[in-house]
Amino acid sequence: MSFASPLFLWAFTLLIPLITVYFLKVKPRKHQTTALFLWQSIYDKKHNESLFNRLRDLISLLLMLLLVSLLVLAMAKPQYVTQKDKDLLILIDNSASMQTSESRESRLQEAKDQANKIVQALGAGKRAAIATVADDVKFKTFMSSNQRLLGRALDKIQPTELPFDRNALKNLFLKGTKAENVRVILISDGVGPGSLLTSKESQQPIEFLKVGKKSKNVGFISCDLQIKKMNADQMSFYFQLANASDKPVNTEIYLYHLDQEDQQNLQSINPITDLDDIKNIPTNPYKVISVTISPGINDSAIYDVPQMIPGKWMALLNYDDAMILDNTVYMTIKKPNPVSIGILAKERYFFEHSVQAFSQSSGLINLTPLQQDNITQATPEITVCQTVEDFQSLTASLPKSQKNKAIIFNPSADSSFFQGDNTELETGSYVIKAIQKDDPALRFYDVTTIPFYGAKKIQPTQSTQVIAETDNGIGLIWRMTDGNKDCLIVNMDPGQSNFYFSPYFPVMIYRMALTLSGDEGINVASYHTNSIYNSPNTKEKINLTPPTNTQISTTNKTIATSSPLTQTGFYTLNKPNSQQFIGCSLLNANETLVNPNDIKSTIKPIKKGHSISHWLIIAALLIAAIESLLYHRRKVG
Amino acid sequence: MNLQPLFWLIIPLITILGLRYSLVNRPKGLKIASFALRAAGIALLALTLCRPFINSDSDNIHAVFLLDVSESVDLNAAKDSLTQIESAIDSLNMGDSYNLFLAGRELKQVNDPTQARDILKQWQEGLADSELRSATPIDELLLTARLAFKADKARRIILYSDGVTTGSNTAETIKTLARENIDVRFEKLTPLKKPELSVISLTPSTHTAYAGQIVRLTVKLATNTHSSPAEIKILHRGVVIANRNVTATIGELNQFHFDVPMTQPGSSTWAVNITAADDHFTINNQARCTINVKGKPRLLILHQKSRQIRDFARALRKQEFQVELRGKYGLEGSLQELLSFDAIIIADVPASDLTITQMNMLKSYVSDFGGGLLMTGSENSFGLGGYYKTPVEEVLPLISRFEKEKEKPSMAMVLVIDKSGSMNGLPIQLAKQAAKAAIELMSPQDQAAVVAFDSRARIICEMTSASDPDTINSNIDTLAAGGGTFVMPGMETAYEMLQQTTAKVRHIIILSDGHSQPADHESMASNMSDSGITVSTVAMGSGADQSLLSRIAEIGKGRYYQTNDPSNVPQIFTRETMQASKSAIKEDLFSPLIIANHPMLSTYTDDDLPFALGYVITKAKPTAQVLMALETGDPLLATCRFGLGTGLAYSSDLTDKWGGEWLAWDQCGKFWAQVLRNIARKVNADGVYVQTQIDNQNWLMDIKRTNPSGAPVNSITWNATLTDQDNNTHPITIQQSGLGLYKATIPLEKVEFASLSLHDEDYNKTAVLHYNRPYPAEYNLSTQPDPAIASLKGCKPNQVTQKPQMVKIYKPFASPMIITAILLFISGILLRRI
Repeated sequence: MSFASPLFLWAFTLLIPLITVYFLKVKPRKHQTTALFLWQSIYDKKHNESLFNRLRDLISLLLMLLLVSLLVLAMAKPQYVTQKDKDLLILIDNSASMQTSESRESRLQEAKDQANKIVQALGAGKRAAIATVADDVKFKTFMSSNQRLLGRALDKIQPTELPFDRNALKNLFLKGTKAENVRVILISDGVGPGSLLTSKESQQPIEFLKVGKKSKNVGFISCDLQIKKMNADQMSFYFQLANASDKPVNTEIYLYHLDQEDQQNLQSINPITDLDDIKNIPTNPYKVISVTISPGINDSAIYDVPQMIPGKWMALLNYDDAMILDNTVYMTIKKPNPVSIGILAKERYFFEHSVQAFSQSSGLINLTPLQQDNITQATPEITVCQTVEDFQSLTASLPKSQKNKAIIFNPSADSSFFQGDNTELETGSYVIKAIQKDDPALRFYDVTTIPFYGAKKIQPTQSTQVIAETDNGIGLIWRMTDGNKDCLIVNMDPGQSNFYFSPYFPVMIYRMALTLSGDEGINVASYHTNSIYNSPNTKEKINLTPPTNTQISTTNKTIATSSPLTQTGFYTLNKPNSQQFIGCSLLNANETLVNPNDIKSTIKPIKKGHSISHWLIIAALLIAAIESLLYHRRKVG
Repeated sequence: MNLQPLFWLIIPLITILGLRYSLVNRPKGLKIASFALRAAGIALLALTLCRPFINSDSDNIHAVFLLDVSESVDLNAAKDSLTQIESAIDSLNMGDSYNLFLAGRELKQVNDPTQARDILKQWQEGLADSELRSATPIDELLLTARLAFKADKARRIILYSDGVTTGSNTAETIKTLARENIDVRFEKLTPLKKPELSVISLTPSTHTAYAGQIVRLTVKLATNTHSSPAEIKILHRGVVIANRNVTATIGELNQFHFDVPMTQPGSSTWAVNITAADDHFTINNQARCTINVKGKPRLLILHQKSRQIRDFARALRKQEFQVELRGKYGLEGSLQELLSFDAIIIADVPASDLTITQMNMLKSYVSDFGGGLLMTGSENSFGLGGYYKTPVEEVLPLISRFEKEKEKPSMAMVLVIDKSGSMNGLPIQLAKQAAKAAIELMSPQDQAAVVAFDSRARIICEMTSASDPDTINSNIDTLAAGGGTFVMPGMETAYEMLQQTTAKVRHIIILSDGHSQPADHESMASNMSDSGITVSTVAMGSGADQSLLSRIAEIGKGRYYQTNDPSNVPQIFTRETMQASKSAIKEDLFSPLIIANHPMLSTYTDDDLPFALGYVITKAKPTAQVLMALETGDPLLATCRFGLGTGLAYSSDLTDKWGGEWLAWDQCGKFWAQVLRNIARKVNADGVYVQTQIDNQNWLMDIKRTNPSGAPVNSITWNATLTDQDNNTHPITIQQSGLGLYKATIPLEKVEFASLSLHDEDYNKTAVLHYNRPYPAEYNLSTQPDPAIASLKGCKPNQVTQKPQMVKIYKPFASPMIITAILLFISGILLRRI
């Protein structure tokens, strides 16, 4: 036992005036009486109580001495000091699953209550710090022994919509800090940290205090919305659900298309605490899908959406459960940016016609007008060159560092790229072989049936990839990748025998253009919280406004080439002349499955409740009251 | 205030009852006054329980000084900063406090600048602390420093650094600290003023190329001098493919292009190396990149006398294979290099010439990356080569263990094992394991004994029938290390034991790791040899008496092995056992029979196939499919799936020794090309598009899986494995995230370089990705400070305490209230008594 504030023991000197007061002789009050018989009764009474009367002052004094001593001790803050008493770092998990509500209060509130109990029992002179942990550790207050301050820090903790990131705990401490003097207590529902708490991965031993009970929850764990590949007028809606309870759940998914007004109304509801609040914001669901959600992670499902409507979409899982956050997903879909194609050709009409044929139907390519005498006026992504000379003039006009993608027809031995003679192969005298059968440039048409009119007996002078050739080994389609150049070379003259008019000609140009453009980009309909949105152009800075556009501060917008997404809803990507929207949803199986089975509290015994001083004051308070009552009943004093 | 304890105010109310029914005969005024004082005291105590406090502001500050001491900082500049820190500490007011940390890879707390100065002095004098100085993840360091702060003081971090961070989230971290009201200041330290030239990046124009294609490699250099001449070398598998003398200039782009042909299909790792006359750090003079090159199937053939298998290699080359012949040490290198081959043939290499790591690498190559592995027969293959119970044997369809035929001579073998003190630990454990493995390989009519020796011999296991392996094994378990080294007594004991047996083959294996006491070992070996006893010796480690042991083996007509790796001992023992029994090989004219209908053998019939002139006796695993057998019934060609790849075993050989007839066969090349194409690694990543990014030590992967028409492919069963630089494999979980979209997060802590195999089990597509960790930015002296750090305000010593953000503090007010209560109580008593 020791005292945190031993200086207050000087207050024991207050006992001196107390004792001094008791030395004062109490003068009895004079009463005049004529009734002698009364004297007998007074005498008898005084005789019977004489011993007690003599001690009355002493008992009162002793009680008051005890009272004052207790109060002085309370001020000196007595404490049991053990070596285990270290400073505390209390980490409160405020990840998404802590929003799970059981009966009246959320898991986060329960965690805060538990933390408060620990803070209240904080030994005098011992310190604690409060921090939250979800995607990383954020301090709410630093080391302090002031319980008031710590309590206020706990009150300020708000839930986040982020999944728990194990790395946040892994990187909590580095060697060399004073961490060894700190007891780290994580108060969490165990969703996320998982095995990290029981393994030795963490550099710092973390004691775990589990909160939360088994809850019913279902939610989305992945979703997607994409234009159908074979029918650009339709979409596919993909989703995967999870169920944290032991029983299957039958419910339905409402799929909404949101207009601007809907989104503004959605923004006004923050946080969403009731599904009904948002269910009625969009007028009618575009589609309703009945689902049965089995316990655990369910198989994914895909539904057709008969109309492709670009913009914002929301899916809502209509089930009132413990966590609402994962019952909605926010998705965006846009028409793909077409690949711009320029034509360098004398007979440009036919080439342009080919491009236009597909630009109207697929929307994946479009024509960029290119002037023969001013090539640099526009910079299409891909240039179709009728001859190698056209390509060479293009190369000469572009800066060396610029990417140069082209489809080149009519290669000839006169150019530096090829050697051999310009003798044309006789059509029908050879068999065409596809060397790279799976090459995307050969999709949707049978290259072996294409008449390569005007193909010449030439070979490339530099290494190329042969995609198709004749049975005699003469290349018909090559891909040449060299530095910034990336070209598909077609050994034919499409002008011969009017191959322009063949239905395969536009297909060929279309496929080759898409192959060169690398149409493999990944479009995400809905990002998950804690993911990073990267600018498609690494040099372009992003100006991103979060879904809850209520804060007016500089941190409201992120200006960088990448930005973390932390809230569910629609982020607004602000561009100089336009806006683009980015859907963001929780989409985390761990957070949706809110009942981790195998995690148990590992916290070592810790003091909770009130300090010794608190109880000493209560004891003094009671003694003061009792002494007063006894005094007025003439038992003491 | 916490108002919950206010219910204690009920107590003064109760005491009012005492006053109401008071028997005290005192003047009313005094009585009430006395009671009022008591009640007020009690009420004050009740209020005290609510933890009252007084709000006030504090301008006290806690300063945390972080002094960057990483390699990129000039230590003299760091010392100068300590003077500034000293002044700053002196300027702190009463009530202020500080911590001082040396910041490198982690924070090192020091008590004061004097201690810090001593440490820096020691470093300058050569005391190495390269681990601490090898990185400065400023973001992590700033976050860690938070623990030093106290709630009742303003918080300020003063970072003395060159601003070069090896972390990636500095901007976010500074925002976080600002939210936590921590004022971060930055004082720029002079970077190390040494001439420095470093490679910034090596970028190929494409990560997927075709054999023969020219790929442009772009090398970016950075320098901190006005003119830095250097030689750039582009290396492929350690060979300089291109080099050029260049001059790098400070502030310029310093970008140099090299057009290099992709000659070899497979994963092709390219490296750049620069040499410059004036260059401080060499760690940053290199960079690597990996290009997947498509082309002809590529084969690696390992044969300890590679010349013998040239004919076979030539036949395969005619069949459009790229073949590389290597000797017994040809497996040196990483898995990344191995992945440039589509199949590997181990033709004649004993297991003892491969390390366990290499064998594990081969296993991973087959199981995780879908490679093909063929072992052909020879005196150094299967059990004869010591492959019994090795990772390579796990891959193969034929196993070494065989039931020896009855007519074969019985064998008695004595294992003479050095148990001297130097064998303690892993060597003696491996020796025991080796002895047990050797016993396991013996047939029931064989006999074995184990003799251990230090300065004298001790019989661990008497001559016991190999049909009772349990007894022998339990005796072997009693073997413990200790004592000196004297081979002679061990040899004598073994000699005596073997003389008493009637076995046809009598063999001794001696294992030693030290120098023996002098004795006439040679005569003893000679006596043994004269008695028909053969002696093989194993010298383990560089401390072994290699000349003595090799002489004993030579005189004893056995074989001599030298290994520095104790883990090779089990392979040597099993190999010795198999070779000593002379029973695993059959040499004669054997005609092969096709016994399974398999695409590998389509179009061939028994009549087409030439004779084999010899083979190694093996037995097929239950999971293996025997494709060809010999008329003796022994398997000749067998295959099995192992993980993603295929194991193939051919028990005869493909050299002139046993395969002369095969090599003379005009269909030889075509036949084996058909077989090998079947087992070759099929890297078909069409339709698998992977987008990766590195974030906070994680390799984030978005995978798009489409069919030939571009439509998404869903519900794929992925099998993904990451193999790191130590050939440790880690299974990777891949989750579907959308239509044809999948994602994975791969932790990269402690990973220097790694290969990832992404296998679509449903459509048999495989994509292989590689990660090469760049050298830390610490060693790049021309790196500019992180913009987020550079934009921080500065802090001169006298500014440390300037304008700190006022901190609200809550001063407890309980004690004055308690003292007041006591005084009220005393006053109350006084009024009772006057």
